[in-house]
Amino acid sequence: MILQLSLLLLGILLRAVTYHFGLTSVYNQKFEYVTPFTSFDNLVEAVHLMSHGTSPYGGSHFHLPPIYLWLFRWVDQDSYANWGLRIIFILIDLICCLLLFLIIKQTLGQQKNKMLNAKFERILPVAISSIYFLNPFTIASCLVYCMGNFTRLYILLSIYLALNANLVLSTFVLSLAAYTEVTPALLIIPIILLCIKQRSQLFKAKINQNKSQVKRTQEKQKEEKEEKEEKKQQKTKQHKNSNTFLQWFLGIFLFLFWWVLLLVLSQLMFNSKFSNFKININDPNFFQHFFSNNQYFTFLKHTYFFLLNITDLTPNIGLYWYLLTETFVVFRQFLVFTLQFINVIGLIPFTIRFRSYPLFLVAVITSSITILKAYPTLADFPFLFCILVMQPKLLEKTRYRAFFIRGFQVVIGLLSPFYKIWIQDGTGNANYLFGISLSFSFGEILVLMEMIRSAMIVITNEKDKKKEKNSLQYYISTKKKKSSQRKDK
Amino acid sequence: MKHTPLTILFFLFFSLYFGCLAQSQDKYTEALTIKKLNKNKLLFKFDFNTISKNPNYQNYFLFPKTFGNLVKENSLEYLRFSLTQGMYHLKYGEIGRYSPPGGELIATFETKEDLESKFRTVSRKISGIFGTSQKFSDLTISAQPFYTEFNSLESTSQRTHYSSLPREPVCTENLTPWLKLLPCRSKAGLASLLNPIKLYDLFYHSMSVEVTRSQENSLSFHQQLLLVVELKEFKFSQIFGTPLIGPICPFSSQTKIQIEGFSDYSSFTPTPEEIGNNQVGFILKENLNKKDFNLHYSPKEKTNNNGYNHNNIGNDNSNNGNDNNNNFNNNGINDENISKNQSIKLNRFLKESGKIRGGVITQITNLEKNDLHLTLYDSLPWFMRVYFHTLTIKSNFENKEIEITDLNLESEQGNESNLFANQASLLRIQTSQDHGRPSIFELALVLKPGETFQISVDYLKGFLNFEEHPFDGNRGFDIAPAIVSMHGKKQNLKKRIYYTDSLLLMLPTPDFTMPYNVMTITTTAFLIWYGSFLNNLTGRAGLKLKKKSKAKWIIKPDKF
Repeated sequence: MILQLSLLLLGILLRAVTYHFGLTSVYNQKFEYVTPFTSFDNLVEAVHLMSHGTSPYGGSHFHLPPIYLWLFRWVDQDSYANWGLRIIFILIDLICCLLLFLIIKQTLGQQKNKMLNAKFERILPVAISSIYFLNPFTIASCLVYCMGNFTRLYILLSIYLALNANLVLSTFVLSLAAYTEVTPALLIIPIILLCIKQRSQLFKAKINQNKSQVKRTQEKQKEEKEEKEEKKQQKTKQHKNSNTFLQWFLGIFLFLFWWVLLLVLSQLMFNSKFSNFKININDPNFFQHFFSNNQYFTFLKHTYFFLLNITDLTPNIGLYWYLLTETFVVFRQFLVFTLQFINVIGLIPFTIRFRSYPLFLVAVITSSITILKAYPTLADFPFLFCILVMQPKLLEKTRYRAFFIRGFQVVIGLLSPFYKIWIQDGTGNANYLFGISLSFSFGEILVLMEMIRSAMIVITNEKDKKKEKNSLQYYISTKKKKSSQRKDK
Repeated sequence: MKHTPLTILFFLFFSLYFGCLAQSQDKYTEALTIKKLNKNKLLFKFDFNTISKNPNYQNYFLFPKTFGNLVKENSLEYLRFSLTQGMYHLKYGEIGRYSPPGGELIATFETKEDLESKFRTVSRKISGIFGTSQKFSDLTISAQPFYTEFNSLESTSQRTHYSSLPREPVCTENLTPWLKLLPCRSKAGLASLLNPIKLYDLFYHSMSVEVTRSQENSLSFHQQLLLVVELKEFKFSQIFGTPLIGPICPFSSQTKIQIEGFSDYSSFTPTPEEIGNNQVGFILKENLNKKDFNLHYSPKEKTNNNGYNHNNIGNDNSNNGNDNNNNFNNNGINDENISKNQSIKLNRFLKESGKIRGGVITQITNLEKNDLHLTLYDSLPWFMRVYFHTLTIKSNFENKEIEITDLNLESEQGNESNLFANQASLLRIQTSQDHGRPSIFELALVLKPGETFQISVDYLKGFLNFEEHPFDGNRGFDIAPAIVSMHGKKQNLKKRIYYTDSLLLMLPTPDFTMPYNVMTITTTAFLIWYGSFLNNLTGRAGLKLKKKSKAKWIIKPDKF
């Protein structure tokens, strides 16, 4: 407990100190943390344009949906020194850290076969959450007010809520993430799976409690008990089947409902001439005004379409920018469509394979979304690591750990200099940065594949054990039957 | 003498011809103005004016038919097209209307509907006539300046479309069609001086065409050629290659050569005379044809040159960037690079560190003795993504920042009385669109005598696809100059238009040589993604299980 608190305090202190010494202006120049999508300058510009009665999406600066504009309508250029804003971003990181801690603790508690020793298990949640909270990448993205922090918070929160089988809230939080960045919408399937699994586990736990009570009270009446048990099991099976369908339907419906609600809300906000965000329902021409305006959801073009079409080719650590700079315009649409479709296509086999391990499915989908993002920041890297390590027993099976650690050290170390020699000094050309950003993404892909491989090993191990068990039981039961038959004879 | 049918026909045609001359109300004048500028510069300004009263757009006599049709079909009120080589600095002296480097096209239409499509057709026709590139209609450069008055017409603000191509090359191919629009072409009159081989060697060369339809239903067609030469003495045959030989154009009602700004008229041979209106020069009549008219000027005492600035010949180009920045606090008035009658001084430069972010700085100095009312029109292409929240104006008086009042006059046009109520007011913002329209801001400024405003705005560069770069991608992109127009209702000043310097913007370039390599390498990464997850998810054969992993030495759970 003292360790946890001191680590949290250390993280907050680090952030406060770096804020105080004005490192924001240093990190604001770094392309690893400031992308066209997450840049805070762009938000300031949008708010400024809005105050002039111009569309905040003009100038191709701002690409977040309108609710963020409403939330941050008070910011201006001097907000970099605003402690209120700093505290908001520190709090986001803090909540992310706590959520990671809780998620990992819960998953460790639910593990049946404990492969790690107890001390390691006790320290693991603290270790991983503080890796997220204390690493320089997260701190830097907190310094530059990276808007991507919101998406990370939503995803973690929705995983935590799903772990507690809270379908309504977790779909709501996930719809917030999808509202911000579209691609997290793919997470809805693993989140519902996780919800269903957790609910059935809770149900089982309750039944077990009932069972034990029944055992205590009616130990002597064995025959009656057996009958009752059979009946109960049948009931639970029926209950389970009807419940899963209901949950699937409810989950997807709720998710879409929340998302559409958010979009309609932002359309209403957006329509009222940008300058005042008050929705005046008493206005008799309100609906007329809303429907007569032909420009429905124009912000979608500047937010979702921008993210999916990758219009801005500003260099970042992702895979797309140089590819789309160097492709012929004729092939552009084809390439963008094919590459963006990877996430959707990947969803199907992953879901089929890991349907009974929804937490790992969540991790895989989240990390594939994060790796194939159009505008990733370096803060996504520790997030990816922590998400993949949510089930720590997979770490044991991974190969090439030394290679990955050294490789990432070198690659991340070279990102900044290679950017500098191209953009700042003009001594190198774009290929340097392309090479290094490609190898960074490539490394991330390999890590994900390694984790999937080790997950497959664990799963097949478990299945084999089950098979062995089953075959053993079958063998024993058949032997028993045979022996009893012999006895009868 | 027999009256053959041929001679009868000849006389018939002749009488018809003179009948037409008498009927047509077209009036054509030619003028050449020679003016002495600062820094050993000489200006040769050719003006060819055709005025057609009550045109019926069917019979054309002196007025060029192509432009008559253009005006009629597109309901134009005003059109100005110019092609320029070289940059004119105000430090050489004021020469009236001049043009920015490259091409410039301004069109005012009768109504404000379909402005863009009309402008597109006009620009295509113009580029067809003069053989220029078709890029004038490109949406990425053309825009509407609302508060800049390019002509003397009234309330043109919403009907005017403007586009400027700073990188348009100018050559003899463009001059030939321009000369063909003259009634006598280059065969006779002042136009016979215009030898294309000599013209393009000069310091500054700008040819323009201006069509105005005034409200009294008269069309005026004004062709102007500005030539700036860097010489101390000159001779026609030296500058233009030939003296004025040919006959005076018979259609010209007045052909004159006007001389301005010289202290000693006696050093001219032939000596200029008074030609009325306090002007000195020559009125050319047909009797001048007998001998070649070769105007010659050689100053007798070279030390006595009032308008000259010594020792500045080599330093002309030093007036860039950082020099001006240092002068910012010196009122700008003591600067050497200012001519006598200059009323305004303009500077413009980029501040950049690295190739991603930067700022555009425009400096305006008032050199008059009274307040100046100015509007500034600044249009930046989309790949300079302007951060409007960084728009600041600094005054050299007390070195303070001036508050910009926001006047959103777009809704209520023509309310110009409020325009200059504040020291600096923002009239209009137009945000850019990717691969589309430019970002524009217009400011109204009131400058006290001797005051310098420094207007700065930051931008973020956009990155282009490698196909969108020009063939010499590392040369940079030319950025059209800002336009400062003087609104001088009170001070009896003419409405004038000034251009700042044009800028050269360097964009980070990708490697142009290896698109295929990038495509193949990146798609390989994606393929490995596909391949390895398919392999991992389906290939059970690959999963020969090792119960203990060998790499134990990184995380050793037992040692915690």
